[in-house]
Formats: sequence, structure tokens, C-alpha cells
Amino acid sequence: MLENQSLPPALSEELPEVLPIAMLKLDGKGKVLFMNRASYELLAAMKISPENLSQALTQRHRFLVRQALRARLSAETDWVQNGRSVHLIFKASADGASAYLFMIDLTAQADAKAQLIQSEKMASLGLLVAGLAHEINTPLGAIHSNNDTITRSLEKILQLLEGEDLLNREDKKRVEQLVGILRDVCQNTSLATERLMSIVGSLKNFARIDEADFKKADIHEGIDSTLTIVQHQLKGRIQVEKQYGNLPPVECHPNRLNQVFMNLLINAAQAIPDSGTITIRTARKGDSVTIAISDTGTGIDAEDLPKIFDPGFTTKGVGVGTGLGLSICYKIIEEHNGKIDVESDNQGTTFTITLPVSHGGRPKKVKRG
Amino acid sequence: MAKREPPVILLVDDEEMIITSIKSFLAIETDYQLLTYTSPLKALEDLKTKIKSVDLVISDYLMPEMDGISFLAEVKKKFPLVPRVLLTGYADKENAIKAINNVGLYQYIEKPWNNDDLRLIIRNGLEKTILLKQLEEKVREVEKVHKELSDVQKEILRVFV
Repeated sequence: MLENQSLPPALSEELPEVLPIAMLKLDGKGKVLFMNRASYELLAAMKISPENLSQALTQRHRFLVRQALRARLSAETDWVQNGRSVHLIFKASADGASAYLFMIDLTAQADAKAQLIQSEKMASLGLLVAGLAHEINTPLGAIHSNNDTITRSLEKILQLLEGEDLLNREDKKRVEQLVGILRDVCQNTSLATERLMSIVGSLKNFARIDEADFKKADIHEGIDSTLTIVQHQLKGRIQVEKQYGNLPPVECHPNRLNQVFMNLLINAAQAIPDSGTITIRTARKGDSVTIAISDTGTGIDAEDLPKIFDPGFTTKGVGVGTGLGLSICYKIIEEHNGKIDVESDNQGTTFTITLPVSHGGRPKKVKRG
Repeated sequence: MAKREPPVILLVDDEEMIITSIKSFLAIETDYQLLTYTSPLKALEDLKTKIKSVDLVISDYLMPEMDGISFLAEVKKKFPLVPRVLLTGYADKENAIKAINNVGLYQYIEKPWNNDDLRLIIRNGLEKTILLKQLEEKVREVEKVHKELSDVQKEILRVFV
């Protein structure tokens, strides 16, 4: 019990310094009179120098400070600055001459929430894709089968024409001509339906909603179906070079891994300004496999490189990137007990994923979001 | 082997277009007699009342009235030896595989299917039916001969003992 213990004599000086929450004292104009150690750290993360705090605070913040001082009450608000989500509490000092500002860093919670929303979006997209693929398969199955039946019927008609003198020579020639056209058209339809079937197959393979657990899967199949999905972003502009090694089946969460491939491939495509090449190399190294995705793009600035896996970090314009893609990739690879590395210079960027082939039957628990 | 009757195949799919496709294909390539239904309930009703014999049953998996696995399980009650084939989309592949083990399906076909595969699966299934029928006949013959022999034995015993 603490009741009978005497308080440390220097508590009033020591407390603000050990407090894990940023605590500042501001005058009526928002000028900093005092700040504790946590404040320096948080302001540094927000890229705000203490002298500039009053300018950095918005009009609304300054209004809240004045209000807190006037009413000798507290006021609360949220502040997002340089990727940090901070909760602000203004409290008037006892004499009402100055205001205390407490800043609580909620960035981690905000990021977790954003990642959860993104994961949920991906999950519902997966369901939608799988449902669509299923719906498409019925009419596609009918077309594919009908076309085959028509082709077979045509061959039988031709055989009949060979055997008997059913028609005069001229008519026979004309019928043969028409059958020839029909045969070409059928062949064309057959190619078209086969293409459709492979697209639908890729969609289903990409979504893989029927597989909730870790299971052995073909990594190349995952990459190939993901390539089909992102095809329209590459078409004509970007050459894809596959250098596949001999990989064993890998114990993984196939649809989660496909998300990683998709994010990396889209990033690679966006990093290439005009035309270029994306190279995908896979190899086995002992009990692990590596998947390296390289682009011939503009590269990542050296100062940005350590931050690319941070949630919310993006160099893409507003509305282009969510800043979540790579942080989700990082998390998914972590769930697989693997690692993801990046190398970049002005010739391009390579992301290398290393995954263990198996988890000894005890996969790391997958936490969503 | 004696000249056989054309095999009877029962096909259930709630989509008319699938029935038309399969029916047309089998019509040009085989002499199979097809009984087709868009309603599994109507098919079951006819199986219980009208249909005397069927050699193979194909059913779609996802249908509004009942799913293909339940339907084929019902068929099994009436015709335990008839091969049952499930037609399925990819999304329910795992279910289909479970069903193959639980309900004892003969095969499953994925939509969109390949006509040659479909024909092969049906042909093999029918062969199985024919073999089973022949086996049944042989067993009956053997039983008949066995009975005759034991009758003769009884006669011999009666005369000599």
C-alpha cells in the first residue's frame, strides 16, 4: 500500500519527465512555456519544432486553448500531422493564466484500424470475385460445350457430304465453303472461351476463399493468377520476365500471399514511368524459398527506404496510394514467419520475400487486421 | 454380350442452358437416353414413382430447392449401385470432395467442363454399372446352380441312404 509511504521530494519535477504522455504548458497565445521529455519525442516525430508549435496548431486548436483558459475547463480534439494521429487535451492551469496541453499518440491504434478496414475490404473483394467467377462459370460452361458440339456436328456433316451424292456439285461446294467458315468461327470462339476460362480460373485461384487455413500451395500458381489480375496495369507498357526456380509446395495462406504479390506487382508497375521490365525470380534455399520482384523503375529515395513498411507512408499522390499496401505485405509475411527485404537505387527496386517451406505443422496464429 | 438397351442417364440442373448443352452433346456422340430435370424435387418424385431403371445420375451442386449432394444422397437410397456424378463450380470444390467421401460419389465435374472428360466419366460410370449388373447376374446364376446341386445332393442322399 502506498498510503503510509512518503512521496519522493522531487515528484513535482520528476513526474513530467517520466510521464509517457507529452505534456506542455502554453501561454494564452500558444507559446510553449514548458515541455517534458515525451513532448520532444512526439513533436520530433510530427516534424514540428517547439518554437513553431503555436504556428503549427490550427485555428481551431488556438480557439480551444482560449476557451479552456476562459472557462477554466478542459477541451479535447484530435490532430493528424505528418502521419501521426494525436489526441490533444487542453486544461487550464489553476490560476487560469496558462494551459496545459497533453498529447496522446494514437497513431498505432489508428493504423491498426486502417489496416483492419483495408483487410476487410480485401476479404469482401475476394468474396465478390469468387462469387462472380462462380456465376460466370455456368453460362461459360454452356458456351464452351455448345461450341464443341457445333464443331463436332460440322465434322459429321462434312463426313456425310463425302459419302453420298446428296447434293449437286455446285451446292456441295457451297455447303463445304459454309462449313469451312463455321469451322473457323468455332475455332475462334473456342480460343475466346478458353481465354475467358483461364481468366475466371485465375480470379478464383486469386481469391481462394475456400481456403481459410495454412496449406501447401504452389507459389508459381499464385504469382501467375495474380499476374492475370494486374494484367491491365502492365499491358503494352511493361514486360514481365519470369525466372522461376524449382520450388516445393509452400505451407501458406494462399490468398493472403496473393495480396502481397498483387501489392508488389502494382507498386512495381507504378514505379516504371514509361516502359520497362518486371522480373520475378524464385529460388529454393534450404528450408526456405525466396521470391524476388524487381522493377526497372525510378527507385525509392534512400531517406524513404527505412519508412516504406510504415503504415500510412506513401509517396504516391492523394487518391493513388493508401500508404497501407506495403505495411500489409509486411504483416502478411510476418504471419508466415518470413521476411521481406528491399533494395533500391535509381536503376530500380527489388523486393525479396523469404518464406519457410513448412511451419512444422504449427503455423503462426493468423490474426486478422 | 447381348444387344443392350441404350443406357438411361438422369440429369438435374436448375439451369436450362446447362441441360441443353449436355443433352445436345450426348445426342450427337452417344445413344444414351436422357431424362432431364430443372427441379431436383420433381426428379426425386419421378424416381420414386415412374422411373424403373436408371444407369447413371448427374446433378448440379448449387440449386435453389436442394443442393446436389442431398439430392444424390436421396438417389442412393432408391438406387444404391447407380454411379452418382456431381457437377460443381470451383467455389464449392472442398464441399464436393467432402461429399465424395461422405455420400460416396462416383465422380465430380467442374464447370466449365470439357466434353471429352464428361463423356469419359459417363462411359466409365456406365461400365461400372454394367459390370455390377453382370456380377449380380452371375451371383444369381451361381446361386441357382448351387441350389440345383444341393437339390441333387438331397436326392442322392434320399436314394442311397
